[in-house]
Amino acid sequence: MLDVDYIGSPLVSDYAENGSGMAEPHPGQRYPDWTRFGGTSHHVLVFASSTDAEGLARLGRRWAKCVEVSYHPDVRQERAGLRTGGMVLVRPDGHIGFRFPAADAAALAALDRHLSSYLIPDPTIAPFETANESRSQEPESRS
Amino acid sequence: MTQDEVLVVGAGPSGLFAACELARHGIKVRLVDKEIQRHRQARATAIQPGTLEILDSVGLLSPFLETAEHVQCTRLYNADLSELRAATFAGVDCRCEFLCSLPQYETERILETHLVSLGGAVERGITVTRRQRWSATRAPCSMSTI
Repeated sequence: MLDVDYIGSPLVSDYAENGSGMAEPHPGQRYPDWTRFGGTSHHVLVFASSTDAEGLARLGRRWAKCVEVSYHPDVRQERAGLRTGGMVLVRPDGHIGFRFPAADAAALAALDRHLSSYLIPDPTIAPFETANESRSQEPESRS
Repeated sequence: MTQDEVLVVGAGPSGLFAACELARHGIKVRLVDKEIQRHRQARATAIQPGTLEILDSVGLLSPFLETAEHVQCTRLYNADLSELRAATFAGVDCRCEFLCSLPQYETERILETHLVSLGGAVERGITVTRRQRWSATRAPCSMSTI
């Protein structure tokens, strides 16, 4: 629609390994199937089954006011720049804000940290543990 | 003003939309404008597909579609009126593949009607003259009424 993106902005996080294995759209670019969603929520799209279903449900409750967790079996992961499953966060403007090539506990912790950087969660639900995340899981910077 | 209230200065399209969204989310908002009366000037006359998508996301698209001309194609002409280029909005990855053309006062009328339906109002003839850091003993801004 608009020929603009914000790849590399502090507003987006990309946990793609080395950057090389992942295709467009990158975080900061518009998610091409956005028109089927809409509304003013963020949408978490989970591709393939999460290995931490309980954590995913808790994440949904913790961010219930501003984030919807969606399973869309008919949405192709390649359209979200993923090849072997994972999660993306689509922002209310239709641009991807976060990408992680898995949907496990580390992915949920990273997404929780990303959301916490600019949104306010339900304070009655504790944040996710991030201690087990390795340094290599830090988002790489694109420039 | 109280500490849990938001002041929006200027009741143009941006201020009106901001006030509508605050009201929709249950936040107390005051919207003030220095002009006493609504204007009747065309000003910004085109609403782009991306803006229409935002209006749709908050349930406000239909009054704009009903009021505006839908511009499906734009054409550029040379000085001799030969056509330089034509462009449509087909395939722009948006629900609305057209522009909406309407005078800005109509855009403001639609947004103000929506704001009133949400319990808000535009306070006209008020000029913000000073703003300052919030403290317990003084208001964050001063306003004068015409």
